[in-house]
Parts: sequence; C-alpha cells; structure tokens
Amino acid sequence: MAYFVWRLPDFGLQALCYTNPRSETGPMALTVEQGRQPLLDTCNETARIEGAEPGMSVSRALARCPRLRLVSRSPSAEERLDTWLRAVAWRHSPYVEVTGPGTVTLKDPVPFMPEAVSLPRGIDLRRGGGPTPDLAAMATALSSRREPEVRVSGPEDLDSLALGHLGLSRETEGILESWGLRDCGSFRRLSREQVAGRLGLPAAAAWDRLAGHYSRPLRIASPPKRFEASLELEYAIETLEPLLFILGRLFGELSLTLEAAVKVASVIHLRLQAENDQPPYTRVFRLPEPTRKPGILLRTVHTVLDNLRLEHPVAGVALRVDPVPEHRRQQDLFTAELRDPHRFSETLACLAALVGPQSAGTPVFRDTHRPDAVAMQPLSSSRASVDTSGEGSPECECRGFPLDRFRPPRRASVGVQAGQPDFVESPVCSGRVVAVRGPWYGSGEWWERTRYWSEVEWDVQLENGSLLRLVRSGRKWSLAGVYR
Amino acid sequence: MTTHHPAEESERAAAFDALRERMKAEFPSSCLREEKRFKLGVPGIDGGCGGIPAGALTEVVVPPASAGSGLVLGALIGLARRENAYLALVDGGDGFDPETMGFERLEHLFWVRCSRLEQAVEAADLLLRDSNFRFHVVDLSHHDSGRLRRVPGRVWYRFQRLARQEGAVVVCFSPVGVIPSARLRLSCLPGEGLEQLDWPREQLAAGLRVEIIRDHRGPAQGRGAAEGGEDGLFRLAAS
Repeated sequence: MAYFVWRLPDFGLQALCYTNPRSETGPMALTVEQGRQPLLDTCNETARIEGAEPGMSVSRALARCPRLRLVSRSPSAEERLDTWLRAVAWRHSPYVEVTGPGTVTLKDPVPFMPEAVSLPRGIDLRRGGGPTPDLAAMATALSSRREPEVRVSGPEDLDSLALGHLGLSRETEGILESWGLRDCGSFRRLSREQVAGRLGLPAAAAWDRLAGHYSRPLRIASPPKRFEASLELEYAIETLEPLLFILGRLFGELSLTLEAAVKVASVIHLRLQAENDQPPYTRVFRLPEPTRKPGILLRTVHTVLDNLRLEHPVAGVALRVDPVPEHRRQQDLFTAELRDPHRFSETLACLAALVGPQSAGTPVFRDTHRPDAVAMQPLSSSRASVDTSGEGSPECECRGFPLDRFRPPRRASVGVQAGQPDFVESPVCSGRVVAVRGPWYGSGEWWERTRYWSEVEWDVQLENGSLLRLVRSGRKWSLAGVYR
Repeated sequence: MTTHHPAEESERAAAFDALRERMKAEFPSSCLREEKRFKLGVPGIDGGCGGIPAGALTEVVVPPASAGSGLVLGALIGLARRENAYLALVDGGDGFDPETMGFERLEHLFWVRCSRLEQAVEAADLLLRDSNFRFHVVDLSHHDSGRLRRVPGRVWYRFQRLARQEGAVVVCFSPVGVIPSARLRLSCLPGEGLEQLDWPREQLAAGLRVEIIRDHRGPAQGRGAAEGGEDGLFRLAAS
C-alpha cells in the first residue's frame, strides 16, 4: 500500500498566481496584520533570494528588496486552486483526503501525469510518497522545485530531515536541541519509552509517526456532484485577455471534475458579474457535441466573447456545465459525418456574423408554387449515404441547364412582337431574341391580399447564345436568371 | 552542349534508379505522390484532364453565353454525394437556384449566400480552414472581372495552400481567368440552343464541350493524395 501527499507550498501566493497571469514573475509576498505592524506571511523564491523572509516586518523587507510586491490573501483564488488540486487528485486516485489548504493525501495513486492534467504554468506541486500518510507528508519536505517528487521506503530515508517537520511543540524542539538532536534520524534512534517518559505522549506520537508504526485512516472525500466553478476578482477586468485566462483555468478545473465523474458537458452556462452590482451578463452555450476538452469549451465561449462589448467591467466569473454520460462513437464508413462538429460550430458562428444566420445552411423545399421559395435548415451533422446508381436517382430526373438567379430579379425592357418577347435590354445582357419557349403562367396565394402573386415566365435565347428566364408581372418585365 | 555515349547514358540512368530507390527507402515520408483526380462524370473534363484535382485549386471560367458551367456545379454536387462527403458552396452573388438543381440532391450541400465579393472571399477562407468539408465551390461568376483582378494574389495562394493542406477539391467559378494559383483552368464552350433546356441532364453533361486552358499536373500532399502513386520528385531528378 502506498500513500502520496501532494502539497502546494506558499499556497496563498500560488493561488494568486493561478488566477492572475501577471503574478507569476518578480518577488512577491503575502502580508498579515500582527498587532499594529504588518508582517510578511509567505514570500516566493525570488523574494527569498533577494533577502525577504517570512515573519519579517514589511518595512524591513522593502528595505532589503525594494521591488517586493505585497499582496493580500484571496480566499476566492485559494478555493479555486484547492478545487483544481482535488480534481487533479481524483484524476489519479479514487481515495483522496483533503488534508488541508493546498494539501491532499492519496492512497495508491497512479503515477503522476502532468500532461494529462495540463499542469498550469508556474504551479509548483510537490509530491511525497511513503508507506504511511505521515511518512508521505514528511517526504514532501525533502522535495524541491527541481525534484518535485520524492518517495521514501521507510523512516531511515528521512534521517536528514530537520526536526521542525515532525510537528513537535516549540518547547519539545528546544529540549531536543539542547540535547544536541537536530534531525529526525537522531530523534528516531531514541527509545520510544524514554521519549514518552521524558517528553510526554505528544512526542511519543510523533516518534510513532516517524517510525512508521502507525498508519492513520484517511477521511476520504467524494467528488462534487455539481459541476460549477466561479471566481470573484480582486480587480475588475476590462479586456478580453485576462478574462480568457481565468476562463481557461475554470474550464481546466471543470474538465478534470467531469473526467473524475466520467461525464461530459453538453451545455455551458456563463455568468459575468458586472462591477458595482450592475446586472450580470449571462449566456447559455449548447455544444454541438458533448465534450469535456477544456480547449474546445474555451473556444466555444471565446468565439462569442470576441465580439462582446459590456458596459461595465467584469468583477466575477461563474461557469456551470450540464453533465451528460460519456458516449463514445465511431465514425461510420457509410454515413457522411462532420469530422469535427465543434470546429464547424465555430465556423458557423463566424459565417453567421459575416453573412447573417439565415444565409448559411442546407436548402430545403417549401411547399408552395411561388418561384424561388427556399428555406434554409442547419446542416445535419450526419447524413446517411445515398444510392446514386439506380435509374430513379435524382440525377436522372433533372433536365436542362441549372438556372443562375438574380436576387432580386433585374429590371428589363422587353420588346414584344406577336405576343412574344422580341428584344431584351437589361444591365446584364441585351440583344435580339432568336428563340422563345413559353409562356408559363403561375399564380398563387390569391386568398391573401398582401401575398398574392401572379406572373408569366418565358425562356428566351439571345443572339449571343445566352439563355434567359424572363418574367412578366403585370406590365413589368424582369430578368429572373440566366441558364448556365 | 555535351553528348554522352549510350552506354554512359544507361549507366547514369541505372545510377539514378539506384539513388531513387535508396532515397525512397531512407525518407519514405518525403516522397511526393501523384495527385488524385476525381472523375466528374462529364466526359469533356474526365477525358480532357482526368478529372478535378484534389488538394489543388480548379478555376472554371464562366462565359457570358450559356454553356453549361451549371452542369459542372451539378456534377460536383453529385460527386460529393457519391463520395458521401459534404460540399460547401460559397455563392458569391447569391445566384444558386436549388429548384432547378433539384432539392433532392442537395442533402450534402452547405450553401453560404453572399452578396459582396469580400464576404465571399472571407467565407471561403473560413470554410477552407474548417476540416469538415472535402469539396468546396466558390462561385464568383457574378462579380465584375475588374474587381476580381484586384483581389490580392496572396489570397489565391492561401486558398491553394489550404486546399493542399486539407486535400480538398476546391473549384472557383469566375468570369475570366484570374486565379494565378489554379492548377487546372477550364472553360465551357457555348451550347446549341434553347431546345437543350428539355434534354436530360446526363445527355447535356455528355455533350458538354470543355476547353482546358491550363493543366499543371503536379504532386499533391494531404488527405486526398492518392496512395501508392509514383514519386514525382525522384522521377524529375532522373530525367
């Protein structure tokens, strides 16, 4: 049986970096108020290199490190990073204990898969493994940024660890130091009875933990049933880039949560909270095909946000997805299918913005005799194959050249002789008529005054070889199209 | 000019053959394959140039007189149906008439109705980047040739690159030959007259007279490239 403890050192600072792309570089420290004097609570590695240390007063830290950026704790950001950590943990093991803020303990996890969880840039996740949860927790103290994962097989591997990681009281630590004991190895070599007799039961419990004699049961947490993520922002956002960064983080988190529950998202509910309690912007995105890929989820929202203009800056982001069971399907050899429905959905959105939503689709027949009555319907994402070999196939039924229509029909001046068109003059083509077919009379919807139509059609050939369809409606002549 | 002895020539050819085989074995992925051409079922095109190339641009010049360029569009729609694939039609002048094309044949058609040239070019660009369509038709025949000539050449080269990347069949209809990157350019010759409007479409297609203006046969890459074709690069080196 193996246990792993995953810990995010400098949790408060990492949480700020997780939700704010600008926080990733430079010396930075979290401050806490202690009495009247603000002190440094945590500082990042750059700040430590430049001389700042936790517990130092702010004025002293700034004197040592003038470019130190002081930030306050963000509970909302910490909750997000904690949620992400739990989701990643569930990706690796079903037995996960939420040990503390930024710390989880896993039982028998699969090897860590950084590419599968797309570890966010700048996130420092330390992992310690051992035969008991306590030894695994101590092993994380041996890890570093360069070597984020350390495994120990027994207490002897922790001999070099400082006593401070044992969780002893300051008083006990002081006594041990006065005895000349500074590391776990020397403490472990003491007799348990002597430790219990001289230092008390808490020190004996620490000795048991170090010796690996006691393996505490984990308090297993269950994955969330609701698939939502939200973040209240410290500073309102006015541009798209930071908003996309946050949405990317939230979608990454939701994707991991969905994966742990073996679900996919079918609908995305987005809510952008406006500053100063103004009405929020809400939008529902129905996905063309359920998915949990964070890139696709983000792209779906991005396409709309690209052209969105809000009156007020965004002070909070909330996402919720409707989960559906995962259904894997294989492409059919005998069915025309869109290979990437998500991509097509984005293309369709761009085309709708370019030409209008009613101008792209598959033409379908409208049950009317009115000329050029076409309805558009969305392209079906899968279409059964057609048999084009038979005699009765649609290819065999069409006659003549297809018409190339003018929408709207072009005005034309038509000379008539013996009741037939004799000469055509229009902006498209003009000339003497050499051959005529027609007339064909059509009318309909006489029962509705506003929709009533009546016209006469003629097919004519001009001397230059053009085949035209002329239409006379009342006394007006027009050019309906050219046969091409 | 240098002349070679026949024995030397055959020795050189053998050396090139050996080199070609070795290069093929060493770098199989670098081998360029011969392009695939789709038969349209129009004898004038299938017989004249072997069909419409995949992974390349084809330009169909539409003359002012009625000549049957609509039949080429109809044949492309039929081809897409037979291939069980979707066809994207960017209708630059909103002139496509589904009624005379036959509604029953248009299940696989995605029709984008544009009113301006810029719209049509942008829509074609978007659809060519979408990997869902194997067949693309861009009808710009309604637009003025002067305006079409002002479309920058880089647009057509980008279309060519996208077509090649996706292995797609891309056919542009234009009033004059304006596409510098078209691998195949053809034009339909005027038909016989008004009586043809009663002829079955198969008969019209069979009698369609086509002039092949340009046919740059070349190797193509991408999804539509034919499998097992001969290696054009090495054949060129040997000659």
